[in-house]
Amino acid sequence: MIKYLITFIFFAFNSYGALEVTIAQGKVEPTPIAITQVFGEDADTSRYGNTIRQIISNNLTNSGLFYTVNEDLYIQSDNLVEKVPRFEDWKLIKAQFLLSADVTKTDKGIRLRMRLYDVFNAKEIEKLQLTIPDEGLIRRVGHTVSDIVYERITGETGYFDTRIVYVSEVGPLDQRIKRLAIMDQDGHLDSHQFLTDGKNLVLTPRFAPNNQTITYMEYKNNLPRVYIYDLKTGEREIVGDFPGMTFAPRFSPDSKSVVMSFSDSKTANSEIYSMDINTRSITRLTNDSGIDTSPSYSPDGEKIVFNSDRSGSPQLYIMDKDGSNIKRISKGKGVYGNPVWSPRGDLIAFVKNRKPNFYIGVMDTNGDNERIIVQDFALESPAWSPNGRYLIFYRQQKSNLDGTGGETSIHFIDITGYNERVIPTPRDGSDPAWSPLL
Amino acid sequence: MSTISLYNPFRRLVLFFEDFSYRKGDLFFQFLSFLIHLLILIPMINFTFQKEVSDIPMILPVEMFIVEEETAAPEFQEEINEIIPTLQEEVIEEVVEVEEAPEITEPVVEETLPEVSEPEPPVKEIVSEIAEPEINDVEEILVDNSSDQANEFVIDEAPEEKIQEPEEIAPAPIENDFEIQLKKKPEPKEIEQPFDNLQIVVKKKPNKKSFNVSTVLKDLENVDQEFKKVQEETEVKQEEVFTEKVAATMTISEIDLLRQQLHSCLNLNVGVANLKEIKPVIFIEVNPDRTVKSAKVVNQERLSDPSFRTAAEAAMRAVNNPDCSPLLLPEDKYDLWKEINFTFDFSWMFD
Repeated sequence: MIKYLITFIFFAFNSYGALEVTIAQGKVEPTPIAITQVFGEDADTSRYGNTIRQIISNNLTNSGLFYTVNEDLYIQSDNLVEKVPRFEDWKLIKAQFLLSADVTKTDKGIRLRMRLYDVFNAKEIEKLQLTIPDEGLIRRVGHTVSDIVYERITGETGYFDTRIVYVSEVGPLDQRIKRLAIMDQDGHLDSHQFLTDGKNLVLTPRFAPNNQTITYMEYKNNLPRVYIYDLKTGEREIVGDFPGMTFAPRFSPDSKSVVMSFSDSKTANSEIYSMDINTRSITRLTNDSGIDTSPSYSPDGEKIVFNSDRSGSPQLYIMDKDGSNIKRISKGKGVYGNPVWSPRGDLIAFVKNRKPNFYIGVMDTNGDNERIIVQDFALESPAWSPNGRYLIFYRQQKSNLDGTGGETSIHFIDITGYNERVIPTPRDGSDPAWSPLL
Repeated sequence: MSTISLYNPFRRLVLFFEDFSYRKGDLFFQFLSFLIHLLILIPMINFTFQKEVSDIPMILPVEMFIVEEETAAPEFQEEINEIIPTLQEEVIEEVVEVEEAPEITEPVVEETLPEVSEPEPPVKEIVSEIAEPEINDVEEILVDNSSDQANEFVIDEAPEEKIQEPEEIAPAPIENDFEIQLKKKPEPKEIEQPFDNLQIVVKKKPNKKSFNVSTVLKDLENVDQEFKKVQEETEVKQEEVFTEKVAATMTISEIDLLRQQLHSCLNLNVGVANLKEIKPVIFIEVNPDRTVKSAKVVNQERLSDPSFRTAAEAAMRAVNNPDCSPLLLPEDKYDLWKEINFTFDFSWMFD
C-alpha cells in the first residue's frame, strides 16, 4: 500500500513539468586549470611571460583550490588571446578553466593581455590588459593576474598581491640575531628584503591597514619600544616612550590609532591602551588587577578582542573600543592567547595551550564553534590573509640543552585545516604578519 | 569453550539477564536471573550428560570403518554386478510378457526397437523445447559475465539446433508425443500396409510402456513444461503490470544514482560569503542518448549579482562536466527525464 502511495506521489509530482533533483553535495578538491604559454614577441617579453606564467601557476596551486594541468597534455598550443579556443580539446584533458596571455612591448611600457575561459561552459569569463612601466613590476603583474583569476572563479577577494613581514632569526638560541624582513606572500627570494640590521632585537611586526607602515617592537638599550617603520621612505620613529614593558602594538582599521599593552608603574600589571598617532594622546581602555594584553581590533573598529587572566587563567575577552562592555568569549579548557580578528569579521583566530601541545584555532566572535586547525609542540602568532580564508603562523622545533634546535619556520594553512605548507624564508622565520592587498 | 557458550542460546539468555540485572542494580532482576540460572542450568546439565553418552558410539564406527576397508571392499563390487544383470533381465522379461501374439511380436519387437530409438529424438525435442528458455537464461547470464569463446560456442550452437528441429516439426502441431510417433510411423509405407492393426497396437503399447521409467519421466516433463509455460505467462503478465506502474515515475534509487553522479562532478571551491542562501537552479534538456542538450540558469535576472553568478557557474560546470556525460538515467523513462531542474544547495558546506 505504501509502495503504491509513494509511486502515486512521485507520479503526481513528475507527471507534469521537469524532473526536480536537488544537489546538496559536491567534492572539495583542486579545480584543474590550464595555463598556456604566455607568448612574447622577443627574448625579453618571452622571459617576462615565463616569469608571469610561473607566478600564476604557483599562486593558484598554493591556494589549494587549483591545480595546473600538465602542459604535455595540451592539444592546442597556440596563442589564444586573439582567437576562440577549441573547447572540446580542453575538455578532453579535463581542464575546467583555460588561461591564455601574451606580453608585448609598447610605447608606454610592457603590456600584458590575458583571457580566462570557462571550458565546460564554453565561454570567456574574464579579460584583462595591463601595462607596467618597467620590468621591476613583473612579479606584481603575475600576482595581480592570479588575484583576478582567483576572484572570478571563487567569488572571494584574492590575496596574492600581498606581502608578509616577519622576524628573520639566525644563530644559537642564547645569541639569536633577529632582523625585520619583508617578502611577497609566496616567499620568493627575489622579493625578499631585510629592513633592520640585527643589532637590536625586534618583535611583533604588524602592518598598518594603509599598507605603507609597519609597527613593531625593538629592544634598544634593553628597553622595548614601539616603532613605526615607513616602507616607502625606510624611516622609523618611536611611537611613544612608555614606562615599563610595551607589548603587541596593532593598528586600528582606519590607521589613525594604535592599540597596545604596557605595564604602568602605578598599576604594576599590564593594561591595554590606545594611542592617537597624530596627537599622541593615550587612552587607557582596561583597568583590572589581571594582566591584559594582545589587543586586536574588529574590522569595523568598533570592538577589541584581547587576552586577560582576570579570571585566574589567560582567556579571551571582547570589549567596545572605549573599553566598556567587557565579555569573556573563550569557553574551552586550556589557556588562550594571541587573539586576532579576521578581516572578514566573522572569526577570531587564537593560540591555545593545553599541555603538552599548542593549538591554533578559530572561533565565532561570541566564542561559539571553536575549531582547532593545527596543533604542535610550539605554535605562535597567527595572522590572517586579507581575504580571511587562510592563516599564517610559525612553528618552533624543540630546543636542546646545548643551544641547538629551536628552529622556527613560517607556515600557511587554510582555515579548514587543509593545505598546510611552509613559506620559504632564507633564514628561520617567526612572528609573521600579512599585509592587506596592495 | 567460550565460543560454544556464546552460541548456546540458553547461555546468551542468561548473560542477557545477568547484564541487565547488573546494569539496573535491581533486586528483582537479580532474583529473576537467579531463577533463570536455576531453570536453565539444571536441564543443561542433563544435556551435557546426553552429549557425552551420544559421543561414545561415535568412536566405534571409526574402528568399524577400518575393518570394512580391508575386508568388505570386494563384496560390494560383487553385489553390484549381480544386481545390474538382474535388473536388465527383469526389464527384458517385462517386455516379453507384454507381447501377446507371436505374429505381432516379431515386427513389434523390430518396431519396438525403433520405437525405443524413436522416442529418443522426441525426448531430445522435448528437452530442446524445454531447454529453450533455460538456454536463453544461460546465454543471458553468460553474456552478462562477458565471458569468452566457450560461451560464444554455446550461443552459436544452441540456436542452430533450435532452428533446425522446429523446422522439421513445425508443420505438425505439437500437442502430444503420441501424435508425433504416429505421424512418423506412416513414413515407411511398406511396413504400414501389412500391419494396419499395428497402429492400434502401437497406441496401446505406449500405455503399457508408460510404466517404464522413461515414459513416466516424459509425462513428468510434459507436466513440467506446461507448468513452466503457465508460470512464465503469469510472470510476464506480472512484469508487464509492474513495469507499467513503475515506468510512470522515477524510482528513488534512480534519482539517487543521478544525484550521486552530479555530486562527483560538482567542484566546490566557491567561497562567496552568502553561499548558504544562494540556491541556483539549472534547467536542462536531455537528449535520448542521455547527454545534455541544453542547460541554462533559471534565475537569469540574478546573474548580475557576482555571488550568485559564481555559484550558478559552478553549478553549470557540474552539469556540463564531461565526467557526467551521459547522465545515469533509465533509458526506458525518457519522457520522465527529458527535462530536469537541478537545484544546487551549498548549505551542507557550513554544517
